[in-house]
Amino acid sequence: MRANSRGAIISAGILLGTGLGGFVDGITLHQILQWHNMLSSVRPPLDLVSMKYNMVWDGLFHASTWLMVSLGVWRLWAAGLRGDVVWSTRTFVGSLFLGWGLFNFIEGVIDHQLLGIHHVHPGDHQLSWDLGFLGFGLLEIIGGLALVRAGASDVRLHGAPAGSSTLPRS
Amino acid sequence: MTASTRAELSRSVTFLLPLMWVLARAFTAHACPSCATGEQARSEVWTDGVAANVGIALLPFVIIGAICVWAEARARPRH
Repeated sequence: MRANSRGAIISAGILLGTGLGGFVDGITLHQILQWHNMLSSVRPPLDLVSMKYNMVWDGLFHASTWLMVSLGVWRLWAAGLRGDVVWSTRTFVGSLFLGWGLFNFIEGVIDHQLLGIHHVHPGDHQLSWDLGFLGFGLLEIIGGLALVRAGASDVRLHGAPAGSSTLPRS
Repeated sequence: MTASTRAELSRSVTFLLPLMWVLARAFTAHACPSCATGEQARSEVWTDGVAANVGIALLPFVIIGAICVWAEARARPRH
């Protein structure tokens, strides 16, 4: 068996990055700053019923991000149990950024641009905020991919001492 | 009723009325799961295109989940 199994690490990182990035969005933009809610452009939260209505959908959003984090922990645990997984910090951190960026970009394209169910910062310069959000996501994707690619040359297996190179590069 | 008892009663009422008001407010807030506002909001969630909204909310996560399945399958070791 070749020790080039990075798939579990990559998918764990993407899932964890997606979930944690979603929490950053939900906690910061939905709750603390209150710039938008899940359906705030369809049903602006201008009265208590509308606020509670949006709160339900924010709850579903947070439940989904929680599920992504849980799946990520499961995949990371599964990777740790295997002996053939290359335990690469660059691959894992790159995957975290890749997941966060994918979330920002995909959610931004679907929810902000195509469906318009909410915008990052509604009002004046709404499009600029939305495009900035997409741009931030793209930067994370590019940076994450670069790190994942760089991590392809890492060869340390899980449990091997740091700095050791226990396998030939493949 | 003596004067001192009336004074005591008056002080008790003065103390208890604000306390009861605070408790009533807290109880109302606690009861909001069944208050009219909450019931109306939840009812509108169910009658206002719930399936479409669930689909919209979950779509980005489904896409990313599919990407993960693809990434894991693609990087699976060859025996």
